[in-house]
Amino acid sequence: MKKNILLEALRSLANPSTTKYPKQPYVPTDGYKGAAEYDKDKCVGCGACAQECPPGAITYEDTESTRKLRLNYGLCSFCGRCEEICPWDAIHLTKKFELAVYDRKDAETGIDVPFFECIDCGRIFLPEPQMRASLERVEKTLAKYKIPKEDLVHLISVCPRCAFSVKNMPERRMFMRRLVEAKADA
Amino acid sequence: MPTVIPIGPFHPALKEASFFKLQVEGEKIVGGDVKFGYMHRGIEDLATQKTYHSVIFLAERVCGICNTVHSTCYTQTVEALMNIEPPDRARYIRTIVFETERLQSHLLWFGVGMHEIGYDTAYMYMWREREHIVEILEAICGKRVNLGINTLGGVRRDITVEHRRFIEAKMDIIEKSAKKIAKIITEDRILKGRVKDIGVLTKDDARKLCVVGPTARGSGVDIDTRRDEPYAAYPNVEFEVPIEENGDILARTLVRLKEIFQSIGIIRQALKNLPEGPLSLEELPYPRAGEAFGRVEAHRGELLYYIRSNGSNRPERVKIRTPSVVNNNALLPMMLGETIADVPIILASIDPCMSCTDRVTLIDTGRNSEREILLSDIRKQFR
Amino acid sequence: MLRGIQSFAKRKSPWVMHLPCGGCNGCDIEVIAALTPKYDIERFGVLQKGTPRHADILLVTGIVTHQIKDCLKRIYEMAPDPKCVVAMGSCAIDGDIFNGGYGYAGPLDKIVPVDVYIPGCPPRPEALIDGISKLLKKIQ
Repeated sequence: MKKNILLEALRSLANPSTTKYPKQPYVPTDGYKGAAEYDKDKCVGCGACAQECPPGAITYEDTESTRKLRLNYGLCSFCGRCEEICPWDAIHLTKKFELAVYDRKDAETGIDVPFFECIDCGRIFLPEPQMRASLERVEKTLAKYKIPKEDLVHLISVCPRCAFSVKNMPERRMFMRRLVEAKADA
Repeated sequence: MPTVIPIGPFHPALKEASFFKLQVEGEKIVGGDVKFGYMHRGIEDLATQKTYHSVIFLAERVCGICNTVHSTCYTQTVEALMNIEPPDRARYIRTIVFETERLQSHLLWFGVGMHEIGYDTAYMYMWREREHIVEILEAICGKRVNLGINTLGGVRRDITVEHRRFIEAKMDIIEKSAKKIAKIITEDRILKGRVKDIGVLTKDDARKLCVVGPTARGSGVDIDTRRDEPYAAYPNVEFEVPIEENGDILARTLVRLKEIFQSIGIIRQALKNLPEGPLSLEELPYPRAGEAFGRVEAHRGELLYYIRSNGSNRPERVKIRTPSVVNNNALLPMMLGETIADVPIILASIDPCMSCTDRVTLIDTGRNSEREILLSDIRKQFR
Repeated sequence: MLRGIQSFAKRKSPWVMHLPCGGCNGCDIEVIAALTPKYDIERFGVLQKGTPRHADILLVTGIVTHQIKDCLKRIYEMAPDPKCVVAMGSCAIDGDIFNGGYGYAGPLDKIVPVDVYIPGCPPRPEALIDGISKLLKKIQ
């Protein structure tokens, strides 16, 4: 047994098993589930992450002109559900794991998304990036049936109350009829 | 009049909060009591407030050492409720991660067991070898503990060709280390003196108390859910179930050691025969009203899940019966007649997981109140 | 000058007592992994002690349940001044996924004052080393 201990001691000295952590930073493997961060160019403020988060770490608060999404690391369980469920690919789990803070309020991240105002009545009803993204998606469908996008912009940019008002309903019905005919021709 | 010695809730020999009251006369133990409940978090009640997908992550955090076990059992039970089958590749990946976690748990136990005896060199060695396994888990799943690999209908991450090479290289390293550990346990005279013929649980007692897992297999009872009711990819792999007859601490240690070699064999077979295909189902049906029941072989024994659904998107009742609840019953018969210096290693030999245990509360609907039950009260009432 | 020596000694050898309250034990595994050869916090002078009378830092993991609240307060009062408390893991900060259940008795800083919070589920051993080094900088 004495011989084995000496051999093991020499082996450990020659090939130490301790990492050199603070002097040599550690970079995790790809796909590591570290702290989550929002991508400011892609987030539309839909709130799907807030609905799905199992511990309820993501919450949102609507003021008059912005929607504030906040992710509290103190409640986060680093599971990755928000990344899986986001339809716009706007939240990712990065490789950051050094998150120690002195004050509990510093352990959070978030994004502020401005709201879009109805062009008829001026009320807010949808975050602005979501409006832009919806217009882009609709544009592709319209291009298939060769209907110019400008005919639809006014119908989309009004809030639900104004969309079904007496003023806008005839225009809406005529557009739907055009769409049905274009589909039947194609 | 025996002296009463309290141990816990915060004690250097215990890794979790639990309370033991031992009655000693001189150095010999003549009776005892346990009080659990310090880790009761109300998980079964929380599970009725979250959707089916979110409860996977809640079930994982019942216990950190056996987290994939809980998440696999829950997912299997919900899949039985929905009447769906995950694809083949997902079943094999679940098995590989499951067995890798079993390796990690047994090496953890060896380390903690050696520490309770006082053999700190072996404790450090085993935890150093355990780091190789945790690197595999980090490469596949992205985290070291609380893995999050399961989803309803399949798995979330894939095992690529590089992962396979990495895992096979690590398995060779682990096999060499396991052989070294086997030499330490079977040849060291002082170690054997501390674990042989101590903490004996006879075969009759083991059957009467319904213990499960390595605690039962160390006393000669031949049960293993992987062989009796196969799930995931176990019908397609070959393995043996190790049994020992003595019932002392050395027998339980040898069972766990042999299980390490069997797990390495299962992982190698599953990697070789990994089928191609999708990782999870594309569409899930709505859960129908009904009940479902699932069981797996956790690292400490047999784990049961019961789920009842009323047709909505939240479960109506989730009941978890963990193996540590039954294995804790075996503590008192093992401790009677032993000296107090042997208590830490006897406690550690059933591999107790207190965070798995605190499921029990008795609610007295007649008087509309809750009360805690000491194990001695249950014994008086139900013997 | 005596104060200088005292503060040097405090920074170079903080002794830790580990208090596992009602969590899942994931953070406890990472604490033990930090003490074993691969991440070895003993090279920074940190020793794990079994009694609060010897401890400088109390490392709390897991949620605070109703049953363990009084034990925790008593142990905090038993530890001699000057002492620090480190809340490790998301469970100790805000309850993680157990927030909203009946077993959850509130965040840790309602019961004892906390100096450093380390989010994670569980935080890596390297994150624990980082947290302790930030704590030592604060003590200075």
